[in-house]
Amino acid sequence: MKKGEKVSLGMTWMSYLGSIHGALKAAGMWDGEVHELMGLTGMGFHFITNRTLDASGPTVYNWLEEHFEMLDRIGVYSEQILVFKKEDVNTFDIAKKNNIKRIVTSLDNGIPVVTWGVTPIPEFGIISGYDDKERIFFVEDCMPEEPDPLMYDNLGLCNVPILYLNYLVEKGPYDYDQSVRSSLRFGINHWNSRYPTETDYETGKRAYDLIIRGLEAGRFDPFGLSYLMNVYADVKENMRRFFSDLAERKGFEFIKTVTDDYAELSDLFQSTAKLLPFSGPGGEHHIDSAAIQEIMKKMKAAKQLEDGIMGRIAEALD
Amino acid sequence: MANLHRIQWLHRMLLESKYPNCRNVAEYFEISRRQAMRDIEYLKYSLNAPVEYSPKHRGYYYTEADFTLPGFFLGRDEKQRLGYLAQQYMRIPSNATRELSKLFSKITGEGVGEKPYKPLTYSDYEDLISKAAAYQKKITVVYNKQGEKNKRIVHPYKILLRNGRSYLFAFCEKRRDFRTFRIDRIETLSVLPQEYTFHPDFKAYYDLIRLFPAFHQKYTARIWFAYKPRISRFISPVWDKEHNILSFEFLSSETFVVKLLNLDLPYKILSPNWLKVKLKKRMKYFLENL
Repeated sequence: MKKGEKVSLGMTWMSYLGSIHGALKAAGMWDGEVHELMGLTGMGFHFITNRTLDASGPTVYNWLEEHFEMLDRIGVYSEQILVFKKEDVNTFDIAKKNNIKRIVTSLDNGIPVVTWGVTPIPEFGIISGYDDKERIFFVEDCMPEEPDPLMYDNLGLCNVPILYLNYLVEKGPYDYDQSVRSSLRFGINHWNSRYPTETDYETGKRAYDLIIRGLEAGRFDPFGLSYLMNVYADVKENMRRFFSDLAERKGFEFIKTVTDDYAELSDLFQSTAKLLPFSGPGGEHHIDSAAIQEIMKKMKAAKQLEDGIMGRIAEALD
Repeated sequence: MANLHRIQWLHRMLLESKYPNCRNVAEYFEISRRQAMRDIEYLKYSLNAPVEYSPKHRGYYYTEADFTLPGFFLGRDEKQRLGYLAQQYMRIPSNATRELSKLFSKITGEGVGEKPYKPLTYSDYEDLISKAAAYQKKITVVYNKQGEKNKRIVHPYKILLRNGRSYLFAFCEKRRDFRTFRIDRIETLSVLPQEYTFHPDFKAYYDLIRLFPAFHQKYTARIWFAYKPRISRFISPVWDKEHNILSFEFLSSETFVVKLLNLDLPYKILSPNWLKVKLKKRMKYFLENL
């Protein structure tokens, strides 16, 4: 990244993936498209929600473990800082002070830093520059308007106050085919396993069950549901493109057995998202009962399709 | 007596099996939950409506689908409630509310002054704040923040409900800034006769506080003015009369631009630099696209 160069998030609703895509590109560590990064890192297999179907699902997972592994799959060594701003945490301010210096060093080396909460919206974003005199970081977020800068003092103090910093240290070699297999195995595990930390959340096939049960019981947050479906519609479309490219690669011909079904799965999510237009925080998100019935049908069909897709991939990998 | 339009709304929701609850009513009419509960109790006990609570739906419903609201009549309970309202309205120092208070007293056949004075508790404060906000009256509060008590005059804007607690979102005259007060930490409260006008930045701050309660980023600006502007339009303003420089806080470049566009006097932004760069860029784009 040259001084003053514009850094932009990759075009996706997944703010971590969009941020890391923008940061990697600016640092010269990645030159592929968003869908390729989503598939190769494994992030495109994420499907997480909780009982109330609120907007937290897409960003509630083990950041430290998963982000490290995702970047490792593309040969990027990364380091992370995660400190919660809570009454019983004594060292938040020390962590902040030390990391301001480290961010500046990274930026001086031409490497943007991915962080949590660059604006009030609890999403990931990029720190792309700084002004030491005014003690501000220039940032990029997932909204269309250019965000105001983040003051040094407010680092980690967004609406969900966590000091999270993802430093991209060095790019090394990696075996593409091996990384694809690792990503697919991560996807299969994500599809079948229980959510590891929070009992209120589920992943993969169980996340579908939570959505279907929440809709049946009328127990859901309309804003959250709209956000979830728009995020995952975007993810499924990117993964459709990833599988479509992968099917042409030598050694991954077995992917041809799932591309049609994945296209159908993506179509189900696109039509679901159209029923749930997203109007941002504070906007009106009304969902009528006919739409709920329609979404339930689509989610049941999507679960069945994705179960078949993941089953076939698992068989081929064994 | 509960407000008739709220009762009619509740009745309609119950007839349509939409399971209204205190929270819905409070949010829809921007009243306290306590007031919403009183409305439901009024419907149930004073109008004998077949209202029951459904734990499954987390809301109320009619056990008899053909219940209709009675026409106007005044029972003992209504008289008592009207009497209560008459007392509450008498506390608000406005001619209109005093007239209403007299009218309610007249309907009940009792004089307001005849009731013995009862000291207010914090549970009454929500009602008083709602009324003061409705009439845009300033209030004085003695606020207890972790044992430290201080007296302030504030402009009560809104009551916010968060994690089961009630908060007052207001403009503090002492700090010349927006503040959020926990209502159960207010020790005394009285409504003043003076009216307030909404601060120009009210909406931007309120939206931020409502949607993102933990986020409190404020920037500081320094601007040179040809002569002193009306500083009450700014947040935490400090006027340097020797150099004609105003320092103040602002929430976002959006609120800043709106403020500057509304100023009809020569000025120059001294800092922050990022804002000057951003505004120049925006103005250039604006001019190119005219």
